[in-house]
Amino acid sequence: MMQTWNIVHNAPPGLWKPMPEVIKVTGVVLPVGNGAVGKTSLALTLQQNILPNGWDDSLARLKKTKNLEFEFVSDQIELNGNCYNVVQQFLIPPGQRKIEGNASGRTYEDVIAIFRFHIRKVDVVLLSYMITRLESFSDLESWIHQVVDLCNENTDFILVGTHLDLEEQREVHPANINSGKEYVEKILRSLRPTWRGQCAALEVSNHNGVNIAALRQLISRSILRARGIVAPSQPTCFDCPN
Amino acid sequence: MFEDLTIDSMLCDLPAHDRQVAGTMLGRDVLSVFERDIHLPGVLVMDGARLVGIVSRETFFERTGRVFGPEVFLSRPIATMLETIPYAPLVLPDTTLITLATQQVLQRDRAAIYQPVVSETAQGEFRLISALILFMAQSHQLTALHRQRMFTVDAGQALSDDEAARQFVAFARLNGGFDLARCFVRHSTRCDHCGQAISYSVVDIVRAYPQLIKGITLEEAMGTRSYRFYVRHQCGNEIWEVPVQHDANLEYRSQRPARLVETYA
Repeated sequence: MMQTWNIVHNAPPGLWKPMPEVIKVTGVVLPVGNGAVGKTSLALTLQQNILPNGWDDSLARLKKTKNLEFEFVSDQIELNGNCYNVVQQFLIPPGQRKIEGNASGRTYEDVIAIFRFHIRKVDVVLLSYMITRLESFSDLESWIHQVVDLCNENTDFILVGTHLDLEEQREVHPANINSGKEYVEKILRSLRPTWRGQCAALEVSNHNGVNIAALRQLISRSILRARGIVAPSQPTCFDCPN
Repeated sequence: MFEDLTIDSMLCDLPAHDRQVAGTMLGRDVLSVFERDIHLPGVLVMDGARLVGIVSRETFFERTGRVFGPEVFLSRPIATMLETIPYAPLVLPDTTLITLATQQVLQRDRAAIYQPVVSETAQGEFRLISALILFMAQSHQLTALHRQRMFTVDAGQALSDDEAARQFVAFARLNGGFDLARCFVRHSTRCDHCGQAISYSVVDIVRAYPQLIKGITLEEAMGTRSYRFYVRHQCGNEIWEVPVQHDANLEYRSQRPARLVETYA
């Protein structure tokens, strides 16, 4: 790969430092999951880490729309001596499905029907659930069926559990997550036999920022892997911390 | 009065009156009979051992309260008043179920609905039962029936542990490798409404729900199975249930807020 040299003009001769090239990569991230699991909040927290005065719900409420939401998260990652500037383009569809009979706005199906041609290459799917609601985890089964036709054979899937700060109300346990991971891989291989992606799991808290940085890195690595920049054999996914 | 009544109780289990008068008895004597016993719903008018008819308290005072009523009826035999009553008495065997008797009473002519019912014993004796007593008895039965259906963890169906465990296995379609002993393990939870500590096992849940589908929810998704049990308990005059989550190995996982199922008198 071609190396560029950034010259520090005021440095004395002989002390010029070679800087690695910053490679810009943009990847598409599609968070899906039931309504109110924290998809929008997750993207906002990934953007800003944790707000100085703690998490403010009003920010997420301001951003909420009944449409496809767009957020951008920028991350820097070093791999194999290269520095990558990964722009994670979040496309956040509504968590309400047609089957729920929500007449108050556009459902996931409506929004995807409108934007299907804009969603060209999904690199990462965030299967989002609340660790305090088992239904939100169980419903991921139907969300996988919903998103599978938007994916390609390199798309990575990440099971993202939100509300980690409410550990005492936990309903989704590590056993569920482990079998869920296996199930996602199994069902994706049956629905799309050419699928070569990976599935990881991570739990985060939008409230206090736990694991947010790890998730940002995980998404970046998944994008690099899905774009063929990192070899598929390289381990790019974290395991569930539990 | 009705404490011992069950859904199978009959007319013979109800309080009744057997005040009989001859058809030749004068109206004023019948008046004194009614005045002496204020709870008497009516009199049986007999001709020897044969029932001629009944004169209820309401009918007697309604007839004698009309203009010239006292002059017409009090100085004449009660049979005279009986001739003015257009409907025949409802006579039922005393082995008739209260439920069926109430249905027959309500099928009568509207004017006669509140007339007393005559129950006849196997020996051919007659007794008079107030319609009000009959209606109250049936109301009590319905309440008792309602309570019988409101099983709780403490008061469930009479099923042995093994029977209940087998019912659960069949309901959950568990294979032969399932260890039945897991159904007997006791768990405890606390109602967030009343603070009551509730101890339960899977067999208790099976006993508490004659229809298992109402007490146990099976959830199979994302490659795993979980159960939601609705643990019922009594809190005063109310029945509350606490939804508790158990994993595939029937280990307790979490609980949801308790919810009111039923309030009864």
